[in-house]
Amino acid sequence: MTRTLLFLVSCVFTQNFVFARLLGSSALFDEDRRVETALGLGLVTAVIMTLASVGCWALDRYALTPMKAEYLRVLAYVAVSLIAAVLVGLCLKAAFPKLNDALNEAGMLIAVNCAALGVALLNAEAGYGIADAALHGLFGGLGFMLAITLMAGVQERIKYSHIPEPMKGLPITLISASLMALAFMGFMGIA
Amino acid sequence: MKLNLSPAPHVHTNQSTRTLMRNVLIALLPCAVAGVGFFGFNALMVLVVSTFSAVAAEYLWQAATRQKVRVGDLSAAVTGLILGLNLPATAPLWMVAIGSAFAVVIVKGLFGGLGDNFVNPALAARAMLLASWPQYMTRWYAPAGLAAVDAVTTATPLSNPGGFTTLQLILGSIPGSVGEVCKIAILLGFAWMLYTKTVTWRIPVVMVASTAVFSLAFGNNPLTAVLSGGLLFGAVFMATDYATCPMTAVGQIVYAALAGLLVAVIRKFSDYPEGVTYAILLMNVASPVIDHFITRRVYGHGKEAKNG
Amino acid sequence: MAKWNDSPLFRLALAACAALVAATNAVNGLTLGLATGCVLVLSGAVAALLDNFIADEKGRVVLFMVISAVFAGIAQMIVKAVCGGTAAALGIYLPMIAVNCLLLARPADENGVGPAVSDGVKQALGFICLVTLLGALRELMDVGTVFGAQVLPKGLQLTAMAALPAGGLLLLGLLAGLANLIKPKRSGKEDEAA
Repeated sequence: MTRTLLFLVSCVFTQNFVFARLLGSSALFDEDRRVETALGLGLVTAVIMTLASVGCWALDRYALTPMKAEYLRVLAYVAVSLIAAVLVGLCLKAAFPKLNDALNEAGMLIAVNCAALGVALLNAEAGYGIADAALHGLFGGLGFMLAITLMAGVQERIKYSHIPEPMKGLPITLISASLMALAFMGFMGIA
Repeated sequence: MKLNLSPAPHVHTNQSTRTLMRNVLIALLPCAVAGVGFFGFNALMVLVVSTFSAVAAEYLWQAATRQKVRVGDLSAAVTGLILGLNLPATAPLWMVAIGSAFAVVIVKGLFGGLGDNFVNPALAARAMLLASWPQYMTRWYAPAGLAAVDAVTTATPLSNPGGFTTLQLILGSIPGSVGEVCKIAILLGFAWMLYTKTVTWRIPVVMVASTAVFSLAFGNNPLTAVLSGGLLFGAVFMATDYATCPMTAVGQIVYAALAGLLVAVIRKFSDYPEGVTYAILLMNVASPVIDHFITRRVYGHGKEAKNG
Repeated sequence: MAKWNDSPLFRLALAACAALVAATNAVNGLTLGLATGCVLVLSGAVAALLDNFIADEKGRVVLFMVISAVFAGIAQMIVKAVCGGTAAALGIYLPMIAVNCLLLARPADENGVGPAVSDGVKQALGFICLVTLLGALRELMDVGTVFGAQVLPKGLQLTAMAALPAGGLLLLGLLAGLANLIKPKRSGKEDEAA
């Protein structure tokens, strides 16, 4: 139980996928995303990441390793992540179509695949078993959700700031992300 | 009529900002005096350089970007002084100047100036300095009065709990950053700011209480926890920065409570001995989200408004 | 796609952002840049060839992802073979090229192989320069060397933060602001020429 809790803290805070690992960081750069949308997208991403983690783990265990085909890993993992994203997207289309639209915006789709592929690769590197892999996907996704929600809030806040012209848009978002990453460094050493 | 949207603080003229800032400066004076008294000439230099660099940086930035130069509103001076008070007296002066410039130009200026920053500039600068030059940010003098030029470096109460009496913690004859040690000075400043209605009592009180509660929960003496490190200074002078905290009363309570929790957690579990800097910064980052959810209910934009 | 800003500089910055954790010194930056560049150009060419068989826009994205995954896998093996140390330092960010290429790639259209390759080459060169520059700057500020050659006096450390993600983001943000200052954003001619 403690171990799971520590793992949660590590994935969400200490090694936050967006602020510490910069995986899926492109999701930070939508200036008009609403906070609620960010929350929803984050949850969806967590689901996709969990599915991708498990799928990739299984593929590794039952196909890649026995066939000594580690060289196919990147291709295989990308395929699994894509499938996971598509499956979840289909469910989403039925239940929450507006969220599905938000998901399908180019930036978000790439970010989600980034995060999913990233966590799968990290799992392989660390040699996690299926439970840890799944948890890593889930918790990492929650961290992703936290990051993009906080960023959505910050974007809302600076919308009325008198940002100098050259900094508007991408530059100031990068600086904001930098300050947020700096703040998250406070978790260093916890778990 | 053109509606002018802007975040808090909703100050409209140079004059009222100036009054606000002047009151903060007055409130900071006891801490500054105590700090110099305990840590000597080095501390004085740190404060002078930090304040001057901040004002100079803002002047240069505003001139370079062809804005109206508003250093007269004293906000840069406040940022600079607060940063200086947050640093150890051993801080190299070039580092202090860089920190002030970072606070004023990057954290404030790039976002648009007074009130437009979303994190506390002095704290963000301190975090930047800690990340950049950790070796210079963690050397603490034992207080030795005005002759502290070649004083011995030693461990603070947070690294050495139980090494100091409660009286020492209150009076401030302990190692620490320039402004954080003398709790009486901080309380005097707090009293002045309450009297002049510069800050709300809510945030410092809730944050300190929260830290006490959670420190106790994690097995530490709550009184020592409250009196050690930068908690009191941070709760009074930095967590209360209007631009970076929530706008509603409930939001502020949530913000302060979570900040207290974070202080206790970071102190107990992380690599750092002190958690106040990061706790407040993290809550600064979270504060727009708090505002997003708590303001809405208060002003009836939710379901109630649709029925009403 | 509505909100996705198609400006090439924007795509460049986004992709560089994804590479920031790995590009902490000039060598890493250059290696990652070159690998990404090659994968980008090759994937773009192949995807353009096969594009005509797929009408759906999302299908094209999927196709590109699969193709770049293949090339990224190959690139990873090559880098590991040529400079294992750098490959180890880059960690998972080397195979991540598979997805990062998408950030750089021009939104698919039916213009055929030629424009796809030329856009890919332009982006690749831009990316290589940007990431190498970032790596070099960060290395300079952190340890005072560039490509391992001591530039600053030994023992003088500008700032350790440069090597951290927060520092990298700050640097990238400042560079982006600088770029906007030099070249006004949203100049219509620039976007059409790209």
